Order: sequence, then structure tokens, then C-alpha cells
Amino acid sequence: MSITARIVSALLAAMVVAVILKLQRRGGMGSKYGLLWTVTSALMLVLAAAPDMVDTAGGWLGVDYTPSLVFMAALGFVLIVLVQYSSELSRTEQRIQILMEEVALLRRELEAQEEVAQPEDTGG
Amino acid sequence: MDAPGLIVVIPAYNEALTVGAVVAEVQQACTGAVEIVVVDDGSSDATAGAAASGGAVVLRLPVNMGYGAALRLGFRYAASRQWDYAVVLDADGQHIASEIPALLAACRSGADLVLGSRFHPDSPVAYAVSRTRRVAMGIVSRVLRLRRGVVLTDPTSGFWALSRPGVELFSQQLPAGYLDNLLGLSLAARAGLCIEEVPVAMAPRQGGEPSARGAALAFHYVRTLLAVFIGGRT
Repeated sequence: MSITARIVSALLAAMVVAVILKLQRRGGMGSKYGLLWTVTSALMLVLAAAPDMVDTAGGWLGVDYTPSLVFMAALGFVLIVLVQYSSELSRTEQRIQILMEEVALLRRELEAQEEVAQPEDTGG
Repeated sequence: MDAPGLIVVIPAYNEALTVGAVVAEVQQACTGAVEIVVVDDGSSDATAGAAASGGAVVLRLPVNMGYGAALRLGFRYAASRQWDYAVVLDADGQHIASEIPALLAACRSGADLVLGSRFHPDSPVAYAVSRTRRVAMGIVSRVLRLRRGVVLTDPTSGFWALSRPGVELFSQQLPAGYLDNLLGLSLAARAGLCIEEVPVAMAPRQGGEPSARGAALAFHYVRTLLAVFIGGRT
């Protein structure tokens, strides 16, 4: 890999690390996801700085075209994360729904109590 | 007030023009004590006010959550009340209140969930729908029959009568989305509830907008069918 390509990829990875850290400091990302993305972006930085590691790993695993190893790992990781987010989003939606039901039922209860306290004119 | 023998749940989203008349028709059609519950699904118009001035209990969702969510809230409220049978109908005037006794008769003879069908061979009035919708309905019927052993000519009908076990199941488990009443049928069949269909006449909708059309409607059909097929719960 040319020295320019190495510098560019290292810079990009460093930017990702910076964004992830900034988000966590500002409270824009909870520690649960913070850990995930800090480790991931750190790994990206290491790989960008020392791309030879990929060839070494490829050699151990008997992969001829080692860049495909990176793509496979990245795709697999993204897939797992997205599936996990879909299930988490569904759970969150269900919780919101129960919350909405409670709000609506409580509001009705409150209105019913107010009606008892101050009976409306039924003459119309 | 006496414990009503009947509770009627009417989910409504921006149906201010028709919901008052629907509430009045239900009161006329039902002899004896009836509690009418309108679930206002985050309407931006005067739906809640129109329903309340007609004498209905109004449950208001703070934001628009969709038909299934509104229905489930209605069932949750119903589960906390005293009644013998529950009825669900639309706020747009499509379901004719004078057909309620026909649904209740089937409920009294032992069914847990009774659907009013527009497309039953014995339906008094032929009901026109687009060919796309007819095809979609045919597929839905087939999937429900094959997967759940339930034979229905109008599975997307939202005109229901229920026994207490039906209401209690749905107050816990009904998924929240549009067309999810289909998924509800699947859940009910799996729970061993007795599902029946009676022929009814229906009017064309008198106001409001269909909740989904075009690509969105197709998406909801495919999503729901897949869920029925694999036995999904939400």
C-alpha cells in the first residue's frame, strides 16, 4: 500500500475516532453504544496504520485475496449490528405503545373523576 | 348506571364529520344499556369533541399510533369494565349499526370472535372493491385457511363482535400496525378461540381517508401475510 493511501486511511480512521469520542463526551451517545463504537473505531485506526496485519491474518487463515477478509468481517459486523437495532427498535416501539395506552387511560380516569366532582348540567 | 350488556369500541382518526352520527346510530340500534368507547387515535380535528357530545366515553391517544394500537387501547379499557359482549366498528360510517344484533347472535351461540363479512355469499348487498384489493383479500383468505384453518371471506373486515376471552386476548396481544387485525385473527386462531363470520351489508365509507393506499397498502399486506405465515406476534 502506498504511503499516501496509508496516510489518507489513517486520517479517515482518526476522524471516526474523534467523532465517536466527541459524541460520547457531549452525551449524544450512551455508554452501551459508546463501548461498541470506540472499540470498532480504534480497530479501524490500528488497521489503517498497520495494514500488513490483514495480510498476516489472511496468511494464517489461508485466504489468498486478503482484502476480502476485511470486507467480509466488516459486512458481518454491520449485519449483526443492524439486526440487533431492528429488534431493539421493535421493543422500544412496544414500550412506547404501552406508555401511550397508560397515558390515555389515566387521562380518561382523571376526566371521569372531574365529572364526579363537578357534575355537568344534564339538561342540555 | 346499570352495568351495560354491551360495550362498543370505535377507533377513530380524523373522523369528526361522521363519528357523531355513528355513535348516535349505535345508541339507536342497541336496546338496553350500552357503553360506547371512541378511541381517538391522535386526531388533529374535532373527533374527540364530536364523540363526547354524542355521549361516548373518549380515550385519547396523545399521538397517532395506528389502527391496531387504537383497537388494543379500546380492548384494554373494555377488559376493565363489566359487559356481556363487545363490538368493534369503524367511525367512518362503513359499518351499519343495525347489523350489530346479527353479529351478537353468533356470539351468543358460542363464538368468541365474529366478523361481519361484505363478501359472504349471503351478504345482502354486493360490495364493490378494486380488483387489486379483491386479489389481496383472496390471498389473505387462503393463507389464513392454510396456516390457521380459519375460513373467512372478508378477513380484513373491522366489524367485529367478541366474547370476553377474545377481548382479554387482544387487550394483551394485538399488534399495533395497520392491517394488524389480520394478525389478530391469526393469534386468536392459535389461542384456540372460536372464529365465525356472518354476512352483513356495508355502506361505502362516508368520510375520512383510507389509512393506506398504493405502495404503502401493498407493504402492509406483504408484511402482515408474512407474519401470519411464520406465526409472528407483532
